[in-house]
Amino acid sequence: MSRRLEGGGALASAVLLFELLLGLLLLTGCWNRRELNELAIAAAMGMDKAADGYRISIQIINPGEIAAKKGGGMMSPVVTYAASGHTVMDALRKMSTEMPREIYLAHLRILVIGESLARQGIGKVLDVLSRYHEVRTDFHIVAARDRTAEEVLSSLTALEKIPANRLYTSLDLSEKIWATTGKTNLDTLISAIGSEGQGAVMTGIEIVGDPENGRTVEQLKRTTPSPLLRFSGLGVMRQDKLEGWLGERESKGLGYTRGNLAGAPISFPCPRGGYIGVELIRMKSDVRGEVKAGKPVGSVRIRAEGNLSEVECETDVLKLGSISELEKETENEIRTSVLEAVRRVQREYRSDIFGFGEALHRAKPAAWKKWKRDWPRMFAGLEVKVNVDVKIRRIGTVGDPVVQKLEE
Amino acid sequence: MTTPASAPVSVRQFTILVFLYTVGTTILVIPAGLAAVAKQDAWIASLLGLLFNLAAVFFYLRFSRSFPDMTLAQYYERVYGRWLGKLFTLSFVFFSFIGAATVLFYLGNFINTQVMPKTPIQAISILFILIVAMGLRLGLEAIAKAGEILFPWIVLLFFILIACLLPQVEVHKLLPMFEADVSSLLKGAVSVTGTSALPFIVFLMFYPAFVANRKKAGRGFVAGTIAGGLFIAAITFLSVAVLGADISERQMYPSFSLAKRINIGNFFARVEILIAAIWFITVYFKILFYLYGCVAGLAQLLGIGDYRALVLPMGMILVVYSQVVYPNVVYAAEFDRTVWIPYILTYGLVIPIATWAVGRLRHRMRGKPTATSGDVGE
Repeated sequence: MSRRLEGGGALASAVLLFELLLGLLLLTGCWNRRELNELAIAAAMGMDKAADGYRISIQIINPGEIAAKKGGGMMSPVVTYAASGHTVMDALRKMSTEMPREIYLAHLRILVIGESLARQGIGKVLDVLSRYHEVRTDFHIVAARDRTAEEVLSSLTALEKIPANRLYTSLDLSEKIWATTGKTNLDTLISAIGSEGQGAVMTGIEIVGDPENGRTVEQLKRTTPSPLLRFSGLGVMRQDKLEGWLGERESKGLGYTRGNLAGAPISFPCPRGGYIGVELIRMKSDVRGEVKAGKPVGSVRIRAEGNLSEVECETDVLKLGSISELEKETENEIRTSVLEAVRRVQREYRSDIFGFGEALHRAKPAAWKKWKRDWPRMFAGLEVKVNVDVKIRRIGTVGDPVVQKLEE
Repeated sequence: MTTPASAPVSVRQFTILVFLYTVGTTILVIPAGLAAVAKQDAWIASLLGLLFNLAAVFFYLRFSRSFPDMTLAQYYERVYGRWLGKLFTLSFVFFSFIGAATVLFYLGNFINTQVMPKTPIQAISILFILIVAMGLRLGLEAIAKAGEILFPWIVLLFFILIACLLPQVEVHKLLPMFEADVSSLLKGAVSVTGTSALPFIVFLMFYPAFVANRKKAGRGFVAGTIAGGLFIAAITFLSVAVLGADISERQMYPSFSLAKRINIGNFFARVEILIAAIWFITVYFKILFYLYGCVAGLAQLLGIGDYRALVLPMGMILVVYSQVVYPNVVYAAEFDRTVWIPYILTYGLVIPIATWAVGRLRHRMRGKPTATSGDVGE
């Protein structure tokens, strides 16, 4: 090239210039680039049933308010827009008439589905989410209990500026230490909807207090904000339809079978009044499907480790026997709540949310082939065995309970 | 086209090229197809596919021994005589051209679907074909060196992908094992071979003539095939074990969804487009060698000594053709499922076997090759 330049003179430089200009044509950057200040970053999305399709609400982060180092708090940290349309995309695009920026869905943290839509079936709306390239699969999906998703998204929350973030983190946290909720994301939900031997569940979210108040920043200035958003119970799905809700104890029972709730407190009454609390720190569970005498049998094996967390009664906890008694009581408690959950789901919802069917499929593919058609009915009459083994290792930082001293 | 005195491609480079060529496009499309036919046993089907790949490669090695100093196109003319030979070469040129067009379509389609939906596919194709043309004009030696330079990156990204996804492997997603029946496993394996090994036929345009140390190069061919096959099997395995068979099957590009799953402490996340460099690089070599087969064959056909003059015109036609080769993705999927396998079997297996047989027969009948074509194209 350089030799050409030396010898060629003006023509060669003209050619070089032309080549460079040609480069400009191709190197103009990304075609459909969108700058950050042109995007409306959606943190949460709500879906409800509308008269002629869906009502979609989107919680948009207000970046000025979030990023403000000082002088924040004047404006709401998030803005919620809503629109209706025949399809989800229809509604989303219609929102552009009332907002200045383009919605960007890649940072979605949570998807709230209104109860009425959930009961009608969510298969159709999940399709658009898995098809749209911008949407990832790592957000949580919850159902608004007795409310519309729009009302949930319109509520501001304390502590976390972005309500969607607060819901995301508190769902993570409550799954770890309270256990009546469960994380459901797009992939697990779609998998479960398509599966014959595994039903889906969605965590419920409810509004405590008057939803109207939640729309303003004013309520955040109180120490007890109202309304509050609260996760409560698990919704049982049959195929893609929400069938009903599990109570707290049953939700825990389901959680135990999934082994994902180390940290959950378990309490049971003492013989002479008061309660004893055990905190589980490790838990492992194993759901199995077997064939016995030509019939399917489901079994759950749970192994857990825990610590004594509170004692309200006069037990001599430092005695060897009392620990093994406590272990037995805890095992009993876990077994009962699992069985209660199983019975209730078998009786009322007939959806195999425990995954006995899938377990049977894994263990005995041939037998499963025979039964899978008829699995909802088989599941309803399934014999389920629960085997729990709890080890209590430590009793906390003190020995005998305070109340024992009081009595003396 | 004459055989240069010193071979432009070393054994090591050739092995790497074989590997890159095996992985290109296969990594994008195969996991979904395998999960669709073999469900959670998809990875078994991909291993079976590796065995088929090896069988195909052993045949190519044997076949190429008949023309140690010639390209495939030259050998066609030697075996079939001038005119019939040219006819075979012409059909081979068409085959490689269509192959290049389909792969170019796949690349543009991938970017359009997953990354930049509003960018015209032409912009992507033109940019990509420009670097392909550049590589081809620089010649085999430069291509081989490029492969050698890019290979460590592939390995690095691959290990990042594996390491980041291992914690998410759920063994129960692989159960029950061996549920798929033999016929669906075979079907899956054949599709693996059809996408990754049978297209090796275009390699015979420069192997063994332009590759150093024939004996070791043969071993390199086998080694590259095994490495590529294991690579594909590992990706398929991860797809099933992390995403699950049903999700893998639903995805257009499971390996990309797999990369999307990477999330180490909410910090090392959303890196899928970096991992996607694996397929950009491998697809590059796939298009490059298809187009090489096309232009080298055409040069031979037209009696042009150097194929380089043909690269840009063919590249331009290729960009246009890649826009029409598949009118839409559904057509593409249907084509891959129904037409591609018999198509590639014809060009990658039936014609070579026939040529090999005819060549041996003539050799035995005459005691030496026919006089008409001994020096055609030289």
